[in-house]
Amino acid sequence: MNIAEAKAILEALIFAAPEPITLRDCARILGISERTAALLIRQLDDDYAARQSALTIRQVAKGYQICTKPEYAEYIRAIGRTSRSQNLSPAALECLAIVAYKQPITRVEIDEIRGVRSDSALQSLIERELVMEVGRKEAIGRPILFGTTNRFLEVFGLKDLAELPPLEENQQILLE
Amino acid sequence: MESGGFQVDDGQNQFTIKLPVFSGPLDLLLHLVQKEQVSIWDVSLAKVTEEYLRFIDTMQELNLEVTCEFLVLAATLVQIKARSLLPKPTTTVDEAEYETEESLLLRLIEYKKFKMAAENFALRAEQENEVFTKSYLDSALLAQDEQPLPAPETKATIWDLLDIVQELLAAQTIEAEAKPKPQVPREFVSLTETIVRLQRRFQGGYRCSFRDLLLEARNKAELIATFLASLELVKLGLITIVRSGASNIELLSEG
Repeated sequence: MNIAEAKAILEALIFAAPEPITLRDCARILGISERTAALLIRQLDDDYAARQSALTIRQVAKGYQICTKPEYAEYIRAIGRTSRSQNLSPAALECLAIVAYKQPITRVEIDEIRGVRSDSALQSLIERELVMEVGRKEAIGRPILFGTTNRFLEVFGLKDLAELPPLEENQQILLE
Repeated sequence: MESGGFQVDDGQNQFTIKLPVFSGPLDLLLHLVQKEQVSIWDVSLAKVTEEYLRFIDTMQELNLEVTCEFLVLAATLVQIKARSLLPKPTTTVDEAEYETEESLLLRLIEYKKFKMAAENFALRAEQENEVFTKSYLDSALLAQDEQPLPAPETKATIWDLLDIVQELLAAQTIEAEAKPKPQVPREFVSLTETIVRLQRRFQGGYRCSFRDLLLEARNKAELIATFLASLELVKLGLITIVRSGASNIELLSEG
């Protein structure tokens, strides 16, 4: 297997994978090191850029994904039937933000921050696979702990949780 | 509570419209504090409390569901206000049992932090809408034509609408009290008809100020019906609430 072949296989894997494929899976399937795989994927993306392709490879949800560049969005939308129904209610978004930054967190803890019960918001987040149960808290009643999913990272274009923008801590802005 | 529901008996049908726009009592409090345009620490809690209670009244008058959480915060605000009027007790035995102004404002700031993060998330999701992947397109193109949900670009909130409704309702009441009541049979305003009428008006792209729309109402019942019908159309995604200028709220539909 030469470099060109390896790159072609990686391209096939990233293209066909139903969700962002991890470096680990790429390396395992090709029988090469993760470092080499990362390097080859980088070259592949450079190749795309060199021939001014509409496609690009991005790192998202702890893996790699081939996607179209934003400048082609309006053309793609013209195909029709490509609209997303991912829009979340303000309540659900608030709930999601709290889970994302405070995970693992119980429902009661979410309710305390929001000052309101969050059952249905949480339910809709679970149905959309943005939030999941991640364990039980060692406290009375062993309440369920919630955390975000890989799907959450993918939907919001995040590589991993470390890439979450920091919470606003500027008192000046918060007090406005 | 994630949604405000309301019931109107317009003589024919009972309506229950659930709106996912309500975010809760802290959201309302934040709205009122921000309206004061001063730093959260400098806000007059007495004034905000009055406004908060007036909002609850209006919501009840409009048959919007006021859940217990709204009432709990109302009670907390009133308690803080009452305690600020009393001389400070020398002992601080029960101090921890009461929510103080400080702890409430800290809670509000903490809430705002996440509200801002949530707005940021909405923005990110919008940017992600510009990027298409194969697996996404597969599922989207295979899926049945789904009615897209209302766009998240609701730049103004339900509270902004309530601001205006409240003001006009108060004006209506004064006017009604000034005029001697003519003996006319009570007239029913049909919510269904109001919804249909508004929907027709907004068909094919239309934009108007929410205040002007409400001012067309000839009486309180019509005003309330117009408000409720607007909410229904927002919920159905047929119109969007947008803010243009500091206090002007507009309703618009796409052509």
